[in-house]
Amino acid sequence: MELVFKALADPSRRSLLDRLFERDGQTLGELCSRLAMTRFGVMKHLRLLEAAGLVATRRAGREKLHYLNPVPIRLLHDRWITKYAAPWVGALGDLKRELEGETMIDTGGATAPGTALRHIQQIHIRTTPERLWDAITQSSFTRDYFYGTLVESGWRKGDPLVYRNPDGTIAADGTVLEADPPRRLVHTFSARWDEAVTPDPAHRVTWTIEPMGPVCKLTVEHEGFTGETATLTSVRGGLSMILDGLKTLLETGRPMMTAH
Amino acid sequence: MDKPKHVYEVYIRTTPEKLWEAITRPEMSRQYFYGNDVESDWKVGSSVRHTKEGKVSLEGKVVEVDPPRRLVTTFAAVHDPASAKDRPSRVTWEIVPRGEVCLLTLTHDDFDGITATYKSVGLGWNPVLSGLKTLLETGRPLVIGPAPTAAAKV
Repeated sequence: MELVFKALADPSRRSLLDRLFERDGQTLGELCSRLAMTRFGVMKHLRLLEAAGLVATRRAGREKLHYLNPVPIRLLHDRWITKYAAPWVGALGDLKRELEGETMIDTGGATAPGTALRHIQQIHIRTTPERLWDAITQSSFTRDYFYGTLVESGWRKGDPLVYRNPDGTIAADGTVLEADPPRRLVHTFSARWDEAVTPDPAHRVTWTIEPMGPVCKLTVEHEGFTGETATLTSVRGGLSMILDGLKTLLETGRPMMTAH
Repeated sequence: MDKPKHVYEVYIRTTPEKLWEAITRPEMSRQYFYGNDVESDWKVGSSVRHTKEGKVSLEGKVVEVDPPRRLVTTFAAVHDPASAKDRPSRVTWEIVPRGEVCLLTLTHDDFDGITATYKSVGLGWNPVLSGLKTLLETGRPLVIGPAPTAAAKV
């Protein structure tokens, strides 16, 4: 693990991983062509990445191809990030965005670019409104799609709510503002999963369920951010995985991923 | 100001190869893409058409193709009179395997500002991507019915 931390500490090496993340199996020449680094520099970094187990190589004829091995990063994530309650930090995803200097201004497609400090996403799920409501409000469901957290609340106006990590620590909490089962739920939300998000003030989350034949349209809106906060960044990067996990769970009866 | 674009991320329990097939084959697309068949030989420069009952709804050209990872096409919504006037925009499908799931990132960009196409596709991609995920994970299409207000009038 020491070598992995060392390998990831350098921005040039992270950008090499990113290039492989975009397209696996590149030659040294291909990796050099897109980076402002000497061939020698790239070789040196690749050796270190290989020593850390993050890059694997394979000969194909006269060429040596480089492949990304994300397993050590996943392990690092599980050991050092999940443990300390980071529900919405997609390690690879954030790394990717940070390095590309690219901001996702409009993941949900419902807001004009750069205007609102909010994040909206919609997803269509083959289920009933009642079952979807249960999946949002009961911990026996949330633990299978919401980064392993258990949700607790009486779900009446004014009730507190808390998302708890499996080890009992608090990942996020808030207060119920409106509850109209099985159609609409509004609550405040204070992120607590790491030091970066904890100082952010609470924002508001609205869940809207609309039945459309055998399908429900679920709209999730996070709004009321005071700026481009760490919480907003995390929500933008992580809400897709939560909602896609919810959909898989309800439609197939199994969690999307076996481990969080 | 940032250039307008729509970005969607979808995690799907499938392989890159199956996801690629679902994106590029008409017998798959008609089950999640508003009933449209996608037709192309998937060579750079070739045309791509989405057709429903013989009528063309979307038209474009293949810009980049790297199965099963990356597909870039131009996009002209010829079925919609307002959108048809816009210069063709660009759609990029990127597939990244992540353990037992694939992350599909769909980016729709290269708009000339907030165009009619930009506005109309914003929410239009959601049912397509939800349907694609359901089809691959359950083997059955997602049949999205009318909203209850519309149903009440019937």
